[in-house]
Amino acid sequence: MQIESFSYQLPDGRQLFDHLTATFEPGKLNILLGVNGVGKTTLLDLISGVSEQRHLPFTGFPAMQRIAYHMQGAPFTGTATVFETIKMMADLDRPSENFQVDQLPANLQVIAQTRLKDLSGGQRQLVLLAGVCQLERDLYLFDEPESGLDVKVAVAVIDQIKQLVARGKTVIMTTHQFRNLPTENVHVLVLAGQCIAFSGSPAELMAETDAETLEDAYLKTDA
Amino acid sequence: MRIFLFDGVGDSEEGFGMWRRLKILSRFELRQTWDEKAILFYTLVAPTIYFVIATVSSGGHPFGLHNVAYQLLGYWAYIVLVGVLNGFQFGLIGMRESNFLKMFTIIAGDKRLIFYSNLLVQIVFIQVEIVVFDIIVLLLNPASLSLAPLMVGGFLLNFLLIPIVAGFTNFILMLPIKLNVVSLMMMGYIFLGMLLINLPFNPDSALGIVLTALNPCSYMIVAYGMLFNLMGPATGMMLGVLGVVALFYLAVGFYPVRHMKLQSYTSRY
Repeated sequence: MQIESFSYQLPDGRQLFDHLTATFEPGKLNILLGVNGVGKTTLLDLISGVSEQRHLPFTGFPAMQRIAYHMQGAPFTGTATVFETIKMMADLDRPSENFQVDQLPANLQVIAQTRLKDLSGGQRQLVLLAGVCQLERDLYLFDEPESGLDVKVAVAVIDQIKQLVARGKTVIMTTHQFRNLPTENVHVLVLAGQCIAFSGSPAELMAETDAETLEDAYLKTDA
Repeated sequence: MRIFLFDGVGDSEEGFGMWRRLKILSRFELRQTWDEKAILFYTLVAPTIYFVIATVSSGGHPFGLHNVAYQLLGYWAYIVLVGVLNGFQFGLIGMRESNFLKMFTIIAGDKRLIFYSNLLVQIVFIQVEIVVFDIIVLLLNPASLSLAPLMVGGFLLNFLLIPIVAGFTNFILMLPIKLNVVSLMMMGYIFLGMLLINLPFNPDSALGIVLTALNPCSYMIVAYGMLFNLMGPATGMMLGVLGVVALFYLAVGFYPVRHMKLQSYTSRY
């Protein structure tokens, strides 16, 4: 999955990307790092197709029908219950399975009959994440999936994402949290200065920057 | 089997997959909409109150008209138009502005699935509202029991008219406007549409053809009137106009479905 020399201006005229070239590794967890406002969400929107730009120099990405996207802010609410929402998502892509309450993650079983509109932002994010993981797609996009979640739940979220990779799925994830990030089967891309400043494994990034942790390596690259 | 609603989806498994998805999404949408009882106020409660007051205050002959059948057409046209605008287009724009549409489209995998599942749910809601309204009319005016066949005919015709009216009004989905502006615009559109059906016009005249082609309320009144022979005998010209206008709006009116933006105009997340 490649983006080749892509330039993009925001509607206000600000240049967001300038000849950006990026490669995302299939079957891996691709972690997209970068400061706020650098264009991580815009890039995910463009990859997913919700931005509906024409003639993008993107190759190898699946069509929207084959992409699952967990958006920042979990913009999915309403009067349906947690169970009804996740079941709807499971039924869409897994017609042969009859999704049951006991298939929900343990932390969601207790709120299975609660309506989405009555949940906190963090809970809604968890529900949506569980639903997105029920979708059977080729590419999964996660935009800061652990933001606003407590430490324990954030670990569980990253575990769920790792399970997707273990099943051979390609994942692209943006994050500002380094604590729970895995290092195996991971491809790191640092978005800075309107282009990809680094692309490679966490070990390569740390070696290149002579840093001991991924967080330090990122900070040095982005500086 | 060619699935005409979904271009690019041909025979077999994929096509049936789309219908299966449409069924799942419609069920979910129905569940969500069912709890939003407030929408019934504009489409059912308000016209019912109006009808009851008009009936009581005029001794059973509202507005001095003695033809309850003709009055029914106006109420049906109102319920269909407001149901389509308020429940369907306004609902979709609201979903877009809260970014729900973006998320829901990704989950569904196709924008058209969201559109058609919403339309199906609104057809069910509008039809239920019209049936309830008709029952209230029958209860208030037992003599109108003789209109039961007309009510059944209107019910069946509405399955065709609702998608056509959605075609008339889908242009709203293309406009780069925010929710509060849409709300004001729709009020004006409904007011104007209902006002224009009170113009005394012959459906065969130039004015009649223009109104039938441009005003969804006039279109519905002419269609109901022709089916129930309430506007004189149907002419070939009138039938032709109704057919051409229906085909035009069913074809062109659904262009905005492809081109409606998923991104909110007011909020990024």
